Amino acid sequence: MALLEINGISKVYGGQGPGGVTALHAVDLCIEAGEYVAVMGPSGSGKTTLLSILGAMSTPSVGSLMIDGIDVYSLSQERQADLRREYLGFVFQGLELVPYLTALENVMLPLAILKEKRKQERALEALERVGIDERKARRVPAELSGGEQGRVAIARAIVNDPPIIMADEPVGSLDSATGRQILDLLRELADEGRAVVMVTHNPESTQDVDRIIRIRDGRVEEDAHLLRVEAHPMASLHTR
Amino acid sequence: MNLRDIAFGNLRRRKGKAFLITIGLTTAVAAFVLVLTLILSLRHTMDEQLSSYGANLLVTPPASDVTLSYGGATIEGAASGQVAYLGDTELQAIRALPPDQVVGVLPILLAPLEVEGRRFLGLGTELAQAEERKAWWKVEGRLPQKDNEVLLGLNVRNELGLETGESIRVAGQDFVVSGVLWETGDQEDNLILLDLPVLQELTGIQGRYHLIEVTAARSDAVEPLLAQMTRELPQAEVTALRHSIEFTNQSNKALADFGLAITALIVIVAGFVVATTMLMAVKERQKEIGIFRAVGYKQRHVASLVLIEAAALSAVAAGVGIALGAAGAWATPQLARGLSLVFVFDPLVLVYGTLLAFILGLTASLYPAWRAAGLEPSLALKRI
Repeated sequence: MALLEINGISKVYGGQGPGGVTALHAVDLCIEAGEYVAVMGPSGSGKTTLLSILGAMSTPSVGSLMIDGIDVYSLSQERQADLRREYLGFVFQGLELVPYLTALENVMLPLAILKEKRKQERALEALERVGIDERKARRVPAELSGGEQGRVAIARAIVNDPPIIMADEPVGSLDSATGRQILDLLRELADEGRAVVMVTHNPESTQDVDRIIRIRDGRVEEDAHLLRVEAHPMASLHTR
Repeated sequence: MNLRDIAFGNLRRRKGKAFLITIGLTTAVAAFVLVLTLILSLRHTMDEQLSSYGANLLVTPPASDVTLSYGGATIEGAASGQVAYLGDTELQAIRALPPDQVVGVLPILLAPLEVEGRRFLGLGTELAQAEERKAWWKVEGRLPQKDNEVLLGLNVRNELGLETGESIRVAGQDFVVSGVLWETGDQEDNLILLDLPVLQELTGIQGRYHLIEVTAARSDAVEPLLAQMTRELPQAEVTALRHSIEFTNQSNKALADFGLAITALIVIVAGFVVATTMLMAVKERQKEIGIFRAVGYKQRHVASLVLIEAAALSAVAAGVGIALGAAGAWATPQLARGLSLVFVFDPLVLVYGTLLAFILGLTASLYPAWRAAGLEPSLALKRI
């Protein structure tokens, strides 16, 4: 059973009538645990819509999303929120750290609504995992470098130990060296057995991924599984 | 960390909006506390001055054939000697009433007096106390201080053509007019007023009175006093003169209505300011709220964030507003010279002021909270 599976997903904005805009057309996808998937496509192709549907954030007009065998969009809004917290970690475009909270508090954000005592310990562990020490954890985002902010964003995504990570242009606002560090971290997360889905328009960001899904005009144009060879810059390509 | 920390963090970041909301709430609370405290102070002051409106309870003998009305009497019965009297027993019982409820007791003896072949009505009472209780008395000259002095009502003085200091022969005895009671518009204008012992000596009626006037300390003491006196004085009739109380109550009500109308207007405007500002803050935070929703916050968590912020600002507004309102009420009599007002601060104002701040702050934030809770988590992915 796939960890993440969408069947016949379509999304129409503005109603089904003649004024409606179809962002996705009958998309089918299966993503396994441990897969590092890049979703690519030009602006307006539907990749962010796909990510929002995969992230249990936007109800499709047609079709279903199954996460770990759970039909997500048949659940209530409340249960969908629970499912997002338990199964999904998000790294947003521009990282989107909350500016008035410290790095530690940003990482604790998904835990703030829980009644548990180890919130701080768990957040510090997540920060340590991405290489942020406790001293830097007490700083607000404006006092951190771009790379450090990216690490904090990833720590926030993994603090709940979710099996799926969604990343929306995670290195778009970073320089190439810093972006590389973030991509390496995402690779590590996939190697730990998490499914990582990254939306990007930058081919350089995809060199470590296991699979590239190209979208154009709301349709999957190409779904390529890559054979990744460690320490080899080139990977052979198999197209499904 | 919990939702409260996040809410407080946002307030620290958006100080301008937090300040604006606090100003709105503070204005409403301050206005409410100011008006409420002024109303209570005015009520207290008017109650304090109730004694200056005259007696509010009248004790008369039972089945009297005297037709009495407050402020004077048609005393055909008194003239004919057909009148029943109250005695010292009743007077002592009245004087034994709690001093915090009764501020004045005036025994009154009426008697027909002959002056220059004409009959006038003589009234004997404790004139010094009567002058104190009857604020409308204006005496030209002075009150009688000696056993041979009388005070004349204006009509008596005009009829007799006498002036202060002149001699007058009353009921066969020589007196001096110590003063004239300026026009009251009441039966007092037709009286010859004497100190009670003087009239008692003159008429030979000792230890008996036609009526006893009682002045309550406060308007709310009148009804309990009426009940107590009716119970304890079965041989007398006790009547409450409600016109002064009604006047006090109507004045209080008019003031209260006016004050509350203004306060209601301010509260509505403040509520609008709070709701609008909160709504703007929610709009500015759409992406941030989308992120909260994306990481697993439920709608009620998001609504709670907005309402916690509103509650925190309401608490600040309650403290500042109550202090400002109370200070304003305290300063009003100082600023408005000539305004006779005793400042009274009821601890319940603290409770009502605090309740208003929270009810207004939270009610005005309900719609923004509902709007925030309804935001989609997918906003986190949008370029806003």
